Amino acid sequence: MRSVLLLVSLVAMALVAGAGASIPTLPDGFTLPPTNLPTTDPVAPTSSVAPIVTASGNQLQLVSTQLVPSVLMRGDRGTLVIEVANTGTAPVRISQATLTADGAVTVEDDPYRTVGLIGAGNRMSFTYSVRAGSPDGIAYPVFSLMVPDGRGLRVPVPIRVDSTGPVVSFIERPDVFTPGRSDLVVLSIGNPRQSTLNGVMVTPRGTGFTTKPSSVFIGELPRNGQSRAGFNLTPDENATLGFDLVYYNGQNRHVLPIALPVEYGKSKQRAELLLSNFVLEQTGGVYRLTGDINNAGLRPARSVVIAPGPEVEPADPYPRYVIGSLEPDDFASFELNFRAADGGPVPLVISYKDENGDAFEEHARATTQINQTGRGGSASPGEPVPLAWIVLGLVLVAGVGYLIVRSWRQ
Amino acid sequence: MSDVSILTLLTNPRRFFESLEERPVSLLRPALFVIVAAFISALSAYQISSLVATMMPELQGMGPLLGGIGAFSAFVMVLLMWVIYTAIFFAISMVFRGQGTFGRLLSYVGYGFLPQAIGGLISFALSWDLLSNLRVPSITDPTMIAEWTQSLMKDPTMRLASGISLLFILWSANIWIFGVRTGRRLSTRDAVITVGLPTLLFIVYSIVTMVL
Repeated sequence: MRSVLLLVSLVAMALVAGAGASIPTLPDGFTLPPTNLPTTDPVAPTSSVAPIVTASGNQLQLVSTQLVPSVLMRGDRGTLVIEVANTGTAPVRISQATLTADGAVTVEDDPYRTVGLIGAGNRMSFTYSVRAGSPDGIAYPVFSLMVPDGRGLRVPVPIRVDSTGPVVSFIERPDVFTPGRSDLVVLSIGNPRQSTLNGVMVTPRGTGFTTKPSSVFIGELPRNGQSRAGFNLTPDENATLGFDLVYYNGQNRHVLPIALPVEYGKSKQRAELLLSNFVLEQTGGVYRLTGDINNAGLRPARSVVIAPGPEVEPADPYPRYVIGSLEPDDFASFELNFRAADGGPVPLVISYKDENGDAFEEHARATTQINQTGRGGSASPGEPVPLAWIVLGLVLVAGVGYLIVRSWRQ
Repeated sequence: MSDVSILTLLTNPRRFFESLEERPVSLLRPALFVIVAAFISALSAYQISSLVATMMPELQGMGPLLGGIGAFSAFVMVLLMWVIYTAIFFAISMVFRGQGTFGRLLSYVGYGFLPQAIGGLISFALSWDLLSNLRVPSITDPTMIAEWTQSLMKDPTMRLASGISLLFILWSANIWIFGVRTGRRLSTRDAVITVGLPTLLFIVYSIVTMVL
C-alpha cells in the first residue's frame, strides 16, 4: 500500500514539476498548491492533489486556496483561505503555520503561531489577510506548516495583482452645453478585468447643475461586461461637471473620477428660428404685422409663440401668435397686431421649447421705418426713380419742347 | 371753328385762337378743360389728405372725410386759379393797353388748362405709384407730420412728378401767350411779358420750395 502511495506521489510530483516549468521563479523543493492561478470567476476553484508524505509518515495535503477577491488591485486587501487536510491515519501536530510575503503582496497578520493537532482525515483552514502593493504581476507568498520533526509543508500561493480599472466612455453628450437647458449624457462602463466588480454606481459630482436621476446604480458588473448610465444634466453658468464611478473589488471600495469638460455655447443642432417676409399695414392706429417664421436649425421647436416686445402695446385680434411645433426646415406664417408710439423698429420676442421642455427665447426686430415704402416690395424714399419714369420724363420734355417750338414757327 | 380741332390748340395755338376771334365768347369747352384739370388735382389732393390722416391716431377713420375736404379744396382752388390767372393777365395787359373783354380772356385762359390736365394725370400716376404703397406710421406730433410730409415731397419720384407739372405749366403758359395776344390784341412781345412774368415767378417759387 505504501509503495502504491509513493508511486502516486512520484507521478504527482512529476506532474507538478511539469506545471512548475511555466513558473521560473519557483523555489527549489517547493510544491505547487492544488489551485491554478485564478483567471476566472468565481474565484479559486477547490481541487485536490496527491498527499504529501511527511517525515513522520503522516500525510498532509493542501486541499485548496481561495483568494477573495480573486484578483487584487493595487492597495486592495484580500482574504486568502488555505485549507489543509490530514489524509493519514494518525493525527499530525502542527507547531506553526505561516504565510511569508512575496513581491507586491504583503501579509498583514500572523494568527497561527500555535496550531495544534490535525486529526486523521480532518481538514483545517488557515485564513490570512493580504494586501497588494506594486507593481502589478503575480506574487508567490509561501505558506508553511511547521511540524516537530523539522519537515514542513511549504507551498507558494500565487496571487495576481492587476490594477486595471473599469473603462468609462461618453457615448452620448452634447457638443456644447447651454445654461438652463438639460442635455442627455450617457456613460458606458466596461469591465476589462478578469474578476467581477460589485456595487458599481455612477454619481454626478460638481457644482452649479441639476441632474436627473441623481445617481445610477448598476450593481454587479461581470468580467468583460458593459453597462450604461444616462443622466439629464442641466448646468447653470460656470458649472463644473463630472462623475464618480464607485465600485467594489471584494471588500475594497474604489472611486474613479470622470471629468466632463463643459463648453458653453449654442448647440449646433439647436432649433434656429428666423423671421422674414415682413409686411406691415396700419389701420385705425393699429399695426398689423405679418411674416414668416422659419426653423433653420436641426432640432424641432415646440410651443413656438411670437409676441411684440415690451416696448410695444399688443392689440387685438392677435396680441400674440401661437405657431405650435415647427420642424426643421419648416416654416409658418404669423400675424401680430400692436400699437406703436412711433414708426421705429418693432421688437419681437420668439419663445419656444425643446424636446426636454426647456424654454428658450429669441429676439428679433421688424423694421418699420417711418419713411419705408413697399413699392414692388423693395423701394423706399431716396431710392432712384425707376428708369421707366425717367424715360417718360425725357420723352415729355422733348415732346412738350417740340410742340412749343413748333407753335412759334408757325 | 369747325376746321380747327383741339389738336390745333396743342400744336398751333396761334391759329386756334385766331379762329376763335370772330366767334362769340363761349366758356363751355374751356370750363370743361378746367374742370378736368381740377378733378385730377382733386384726386391727388384726396390721396395726400387721406395719407396724412392715417398718420394721426385721433383722426383714424376720418381719412375719407379729410380726403374729401382736401379734394374739394383742390377742385375749387383750380377753378379760382383760372379766374386769378385771367385777372393777373388782364391786369398786366392793361399796362400794354390791351383790348378785349375779361370774358373772352377767361375763355382763352381756360383753354390753356388742357396741358395741365394732361400733366396732372401723369403726375397723379407717378405719385400714386409711390403713395399707394407707402407704409405710414402713427404720428401724433404735428412737427413730425410736417417733417414726414417734407421728406415725402423730397422723394425723387415726387420731385419728378412736380417737375412734370411745371413742364406742363410751361406748356400752358405758351398757349396762354397766344391766347392773351389774341384776346387782348397785344403784340407778341407784350403777350410774352404779360404771361411770362407771373408764370416765371410761379415756376421759380415752385422750384425753390421743391429744392429747399
